Amino acid sequence: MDRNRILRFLNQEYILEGLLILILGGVTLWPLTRLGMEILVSKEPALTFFKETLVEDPSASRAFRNTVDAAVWSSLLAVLLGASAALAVALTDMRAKGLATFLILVPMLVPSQITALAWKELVGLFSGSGTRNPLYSREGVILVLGIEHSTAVFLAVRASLRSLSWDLVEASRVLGAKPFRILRTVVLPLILPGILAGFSLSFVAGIGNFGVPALLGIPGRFPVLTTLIYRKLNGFGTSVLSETAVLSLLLIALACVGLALRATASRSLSARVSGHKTEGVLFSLGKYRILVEVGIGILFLGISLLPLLSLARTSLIPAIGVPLTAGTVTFRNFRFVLLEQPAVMRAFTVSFRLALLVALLTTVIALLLAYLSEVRKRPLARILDVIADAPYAIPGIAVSIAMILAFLKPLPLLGSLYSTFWILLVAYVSRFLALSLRAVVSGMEQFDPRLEEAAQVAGAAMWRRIVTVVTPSVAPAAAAGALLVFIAALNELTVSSLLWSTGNETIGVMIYAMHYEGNSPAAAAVSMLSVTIVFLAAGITSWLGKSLPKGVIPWRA
Amino acid sequence: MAGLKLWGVTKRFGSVLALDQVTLDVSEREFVSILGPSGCGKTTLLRMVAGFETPDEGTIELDGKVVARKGMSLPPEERELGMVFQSYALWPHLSVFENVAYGLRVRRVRGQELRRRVAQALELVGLGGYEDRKPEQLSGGQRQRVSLARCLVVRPRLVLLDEPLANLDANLREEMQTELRRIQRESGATFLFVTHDQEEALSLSDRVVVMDKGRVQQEDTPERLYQCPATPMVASFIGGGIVVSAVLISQDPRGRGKARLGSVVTEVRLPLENQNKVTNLDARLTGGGGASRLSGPGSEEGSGLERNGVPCLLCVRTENVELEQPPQEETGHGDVREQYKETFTGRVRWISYRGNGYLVGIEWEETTIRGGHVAFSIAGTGDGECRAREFRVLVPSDPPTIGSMVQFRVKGSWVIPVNEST
Repeated sequence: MDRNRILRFLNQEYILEGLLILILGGVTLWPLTRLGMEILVSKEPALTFFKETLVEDPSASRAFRNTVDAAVWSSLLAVLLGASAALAVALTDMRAKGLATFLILVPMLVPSQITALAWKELVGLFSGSGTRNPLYSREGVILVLGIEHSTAVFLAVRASLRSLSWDLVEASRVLGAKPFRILRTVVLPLILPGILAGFSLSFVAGIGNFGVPALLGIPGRFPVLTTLIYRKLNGFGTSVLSETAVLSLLLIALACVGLALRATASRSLSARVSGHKTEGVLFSLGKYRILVEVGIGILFLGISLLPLLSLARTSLIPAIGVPLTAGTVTFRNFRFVLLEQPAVMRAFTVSFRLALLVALLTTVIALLLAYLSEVRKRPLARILDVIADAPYAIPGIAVSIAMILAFLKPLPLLGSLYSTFWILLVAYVSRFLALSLRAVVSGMEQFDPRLEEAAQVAGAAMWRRIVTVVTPSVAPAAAAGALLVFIAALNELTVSSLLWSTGNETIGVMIYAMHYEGNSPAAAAVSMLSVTIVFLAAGITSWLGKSLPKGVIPWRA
Repeated sequence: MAGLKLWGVTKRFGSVLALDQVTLDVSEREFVSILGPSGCGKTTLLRMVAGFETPDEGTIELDGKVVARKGMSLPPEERELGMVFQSYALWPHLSVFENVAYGLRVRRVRGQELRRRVAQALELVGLGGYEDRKPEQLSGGQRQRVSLARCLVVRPRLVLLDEPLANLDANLREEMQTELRRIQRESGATFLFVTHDQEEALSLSDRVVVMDKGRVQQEDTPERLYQCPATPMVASFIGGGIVVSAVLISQDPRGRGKARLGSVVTEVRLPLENQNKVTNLDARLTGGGGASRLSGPGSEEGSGLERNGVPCLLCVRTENVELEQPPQEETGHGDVREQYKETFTGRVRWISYRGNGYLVGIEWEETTIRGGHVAFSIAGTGDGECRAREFRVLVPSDPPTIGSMVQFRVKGSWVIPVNEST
């Protein structure tokens, strides 16, 4: 009788909801609130605080200007690359579109510090030894950021091209318009919201990026807000916490501008009615087709595979400056990092353990949360959905600062989480929950609620229904989400650069440290290993995702 | 007693009244259909009995136990019901066997007993040997049978069916109707069946509950529902009857009477037990001055007959209309007020071939001849469910030509009893 009563109690939806409120409150709501409090509790009004930081601290105002500068120009570059790639793939009769799409999406899988490293090695090959690598500059940061974020623009523009009704194109064609006029007067105006969305995505990502400015901007004396925060905390420790909190709130404010732009763009996008047929050939390339194909092929290869190849080359030479020949090729770097450097092995262990744990935890949380918000339609759970998205939308460095602020002071029973493995775990769960949640929610949207109701009528209580009916139905989407989280967590740098501690270094931190110490071949070797793992995981995701609904896997959206 | 009782059940979704004071009594082993147009509240009612909705007012009682009242509701998993969904809702990741076994596993039935009962349930629906198939390998009809087996396997006393045949094609639907009836008899369960298809409801059920706008319009046997509709909505919804206003001029205790439409007097049938309801209306109209609302011809003529008669509504079906052969040319109609006739004169407006004959739409001339006045009104049932402006008759062969004048009689149409809502 008592056992039954306990079971019945645990089967209430609000018990589950309470549990989720506790989890999200702990890992997300409390840290973010704590970050916001840093300004609210200060004696001066918030605006004065911002103004003082910007006006009276020349390094901060310079970093602020550089951040906006780099984000805007790199986004323009990303739009140029991503939108033209999307238009070429969608509107011409070029062949091998699948291969082209794969190539343009490669930068999405490679973590930004590795992209930066790879480009540095590639450009270094041509700039000759002795001179400073030209990528160590403002232009280098903009170039690499622009290339990296062109995939986001590509995906956004492709999505809006797919919602474009082909009837509209054919209507203007019947009226005698030539392809370029149709592009200018019909296609471009209609996909403008997609381009705008791509721009704002790239802008937000550029604001918060740490890997590229850390590898290229720090040696190139081009400080941005993320690297400024990193150097301050690294140099002065937690005594400058409050100062860095203000800087990270500046970052969040900038990100919010981008997010608002994106919200506007997607609102005008969703207002469009789509016809049945959405694909067709507007530009028949005729005899120039092979030329165009080769040109696009070289461009896409240059963007995606060439830098990785140069990285592979660096990982195979004994020291910087040695040319790669049959006589010099060596696997010493791999042996060195895998066998002779216990710190590297440890970093792999830490990152693996983190990535697996985070993938597991976020998937379970996402499943339960999506069940309450999407199947049971609980209003409170919908609010939790929004909260869960926040740490992924704002710059990662701000999440790190929020975590330090929230968990520096010892907690009752647990003690201080700062400089332990656990703060990394909490921060990762908070940051990557959105990735998993989005995948599970799109799976859940396809789920027929009648399937759950049938189990309910059959007498199954809530937990049984979740385990036997809901979870199996969304399992592929959940697995894809878990793999996405795994990929992202394995190479994470931004959050861990501020939260790692001795014994708890991650792969991202390790690559950065090796590069900083000047051991590029070793850094390249570690990068190659981790890129290989990521590509394997992405391959599995794609394979799993064959039967998945649209929107679960970002590069198939 | 596996009875289901509802008292005054009311449900609002925002400002929409989905169920309005629904009272219902279903007894053991009965096959009861809930019939109505889409949005009438029938699915809400079913989901409320299942436990997916909580009533705002009223009480629901299952087997003598209150399962829901205002603000309180026993969750579906504790109601021990069966339910068949329109989409079948078979779990795609489970085999036919596991789909059917699910409810038994929840009830901790194991091993030999589990296998025996699953096999028995599949046998009952005629799907023995399909245990290892996946739902995607089955046809629509087979999925429906698995869905039935899944809910019958736990031996529920009450089975709820939410338009289970709507997704099947016509031939299969007829076959499944017979099957449903057989399975219901053999399982001994009470079936509550929601449908918008009147033929389905009439042919399957012991009793039919017609709903409209969240209210129960009539609760009766299929025969009585067709022959003696209780409200204008039921009259026009079932069997495509048209509803016209008339004046009742005489009635006898055996349920026969005469009513006047314009200048024509016809024979009508009356509800025996509800006679006083009709006269009640008379009392209300003369007292309340509401006569102008019913634009019957009587109200403007003011003859002696009108004072004796009672305004009423008639349900006229195709079988009540009879063409007079051969149609004669009408010679003037100026004096119709004084001499009442037994035949109507009208113009053929449309003809539609129906296989078993021609459906002919005839506009009665008194509808239009009086210029600005609407002399003859087809009484609507509120929001225009009945927009027919014509009498309809089914003629087996040799239909009249469109535009020609015909004469017809109306016999045995039903006087709709008047209650508060009309």
